[in-house]
Amino acid sequence: MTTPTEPRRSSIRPSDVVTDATSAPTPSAAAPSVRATSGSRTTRVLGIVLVPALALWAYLALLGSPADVNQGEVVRLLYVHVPIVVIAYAACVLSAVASAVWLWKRTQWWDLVAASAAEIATVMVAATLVVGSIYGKPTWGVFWTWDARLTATAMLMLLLLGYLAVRGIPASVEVRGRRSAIVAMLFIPNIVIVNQSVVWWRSLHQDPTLFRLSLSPSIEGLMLFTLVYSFAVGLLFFVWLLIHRFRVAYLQDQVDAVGLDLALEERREQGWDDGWAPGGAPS
Amino acid sequence: MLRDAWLMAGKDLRLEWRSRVVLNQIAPLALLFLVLFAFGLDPDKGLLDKATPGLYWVAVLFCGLLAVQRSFALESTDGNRDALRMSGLEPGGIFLGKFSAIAAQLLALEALLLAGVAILYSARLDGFGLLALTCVVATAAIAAAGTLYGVLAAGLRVRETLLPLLLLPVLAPVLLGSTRAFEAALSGTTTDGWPWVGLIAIFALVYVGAGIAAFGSLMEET
Amino acid sequence: MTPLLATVSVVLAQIGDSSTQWVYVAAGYGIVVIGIAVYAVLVIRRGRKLSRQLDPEDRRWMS
Repeated sequence: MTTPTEPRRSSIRPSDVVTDATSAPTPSAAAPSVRATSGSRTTRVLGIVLVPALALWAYLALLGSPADVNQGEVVRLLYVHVPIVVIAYAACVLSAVASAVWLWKRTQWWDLVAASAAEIATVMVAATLVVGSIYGKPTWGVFWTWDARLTATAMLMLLLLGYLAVRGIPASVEVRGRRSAIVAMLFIPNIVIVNQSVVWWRSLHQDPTLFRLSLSPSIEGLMLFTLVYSFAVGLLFFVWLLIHRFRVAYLQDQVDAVGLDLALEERREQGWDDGWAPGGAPS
Repeated sequence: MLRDAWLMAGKDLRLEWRSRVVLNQIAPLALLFLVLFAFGLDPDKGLLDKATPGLYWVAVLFCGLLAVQRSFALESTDGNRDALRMSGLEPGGIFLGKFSAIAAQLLALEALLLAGVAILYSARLDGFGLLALTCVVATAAIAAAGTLYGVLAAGLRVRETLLPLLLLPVLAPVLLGSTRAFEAALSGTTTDGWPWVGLIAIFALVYVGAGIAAFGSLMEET
Repeated sequence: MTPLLATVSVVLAQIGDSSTQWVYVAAGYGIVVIGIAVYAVLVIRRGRKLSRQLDPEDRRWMS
C-alpha cells in the first residue's frame, strides 16, 4: 500500500514534535479550557444530573418502593437488574451497528464508538450474569439454570470477550478496525441464532417447577414508576460512561500515534549519527 | 468465482493428499477423543449411551478446529498470504475453496467417527438419512465459520489461542442443534430432528454469506 | 464468589425470612454497584493519565 493509512502521522514534521515536546509541560495559553481529563461539557452536565438521579434511584429502589407480595424484598433486585440488562443489550446493538457503519464510512469515530460500546457491554453483561444469579437463587432456588435467556446471555459474554481479544491485538488502526468490525457485525445474527437454538433446546425438556412465575402480573404504582425510572437513569449513566470511554479510546489512539512519531524521529536521528541517509534503503 | 473455488479446493486437497497431516494426525486424534470420553464416562453405567451424540459432536468440533488451523497454517509460511493476494483469484472464490476443502476433510473425519461410535460405543445408527443430512449441514456451518475466523486469526502470533476463543462460542448453536438432531435420529423419533437441521442450515448460510463478503478485506491485512 | 455467597445465605437462612432477602438484595446491589463504579473510575483515571501525555490541542475530538 502506498497511501498512508493515517494522514495525521505523515503530516507531523520532526520540528513539530520537538517543539510540542518542549512546550508540553507548560499549560498552553491557547486552550486553557482543555483539561487533562476524558470529560467534556456534556459529561460534566450529565454527571451533575446523575448524582441526585442516582441518589433518588438508590432511595426508591432500596427504601421507597414497597416489597412485593410474592417475592418480598428480593424484588428490589429488579431495579438494578433490568436497567443493566437493557444497557448491555443496547451497547451490543450499538457496537454492531457502529461496526457496520464503519465498514461503510471508514471513519475513526465509528470504530471508536464500536470499541467503547463493546467494552461497556462486556462489563454490563458480566454484571447482568452476576445479578441474575443472585436474583435467581431466592426466586428460582438456584443460582444458574439453563434457561434460554441465561444461556444466550452467557454465550454473548463469550462473544464479547472474543471481540475484546481481537481488539487488543496490536495492529494498525485500519487493520484493527476491519478485524473487529467483522467480528462485531456477526453479534446480531449470532445472538438471534443462539437465542433461537436455546429456546428450542429448553422447550424439549423444560422443568416447570423451576419456573414459578417470578414477576407478579400486576406490577403497578410506585413499583412500576421505580422500574421505569431506574431504566431512564440507567440509560443516562450509559451515555455518560460511553462518552468517557469513547474519549479514552480516542486519547489512546492519539498517544499511540504521537508515540510512533517520536519513536520514528528517534530512529531517524540515530540513523543520521550512523551515517545513514534519512530516506536510505533499509538493509 | 466457482472456478477459483475449484482451483483453491483442489490445491488444498492435493496438499493434504501429499502431506497426509489430517489422515495421519487428526484422524487418530479423533479416535483418541472417543477412547478418552469412554474413560471419562464409565461405559458400564450407561452414561456413554446417553451422551453419545454430544460426545460425537464435541469430538467433531475439536477436529474441525484443528482442520481449520491446519488449513491456514498452509498459507502462513513462505509469504503465501501475499502470493494468494496477488494471484488474482477472487476472494470469495478463495473462501469457497478453503471452505470446501475443510468441509471435505471434515466429512471424511465424521464418517470415521461415526464408524468409531458404532463400534466402540455400540451405537445403533438408525435414521441414517437424518444423520447424514445433519452431518452435511453441520459440516458446512463449522467449515464456513472456521474459514472466516481462521483467516482473521491466520497472520497473528496468537492464532492458536485466539481461534478457539472466537470460533467455539460461535459454533455453540451448531453443537446444540446437531446433538439434538443426532439424539432424535438415534432414538428413532426423526421428526424431532428436522427443525434442528433447518436451524444449522440457516447458520451455515449466514456464515457462508458473511465469509464471501468479508474474506477479501480480511485477507488484505498483514 | 457464588460459593461464598451460598454459604453466607445458608447461614443467614436461619435468621429469618426478611433478613435473608435483604442479604440477596445487598449482595446484588453491592457487587454490581461497586463493580461498575470501579470500572467507571478506571476509565476516568485512564483518561487523565493518557490526556496528560498529550498536548492540549491533541486532546479534543474535532475541536
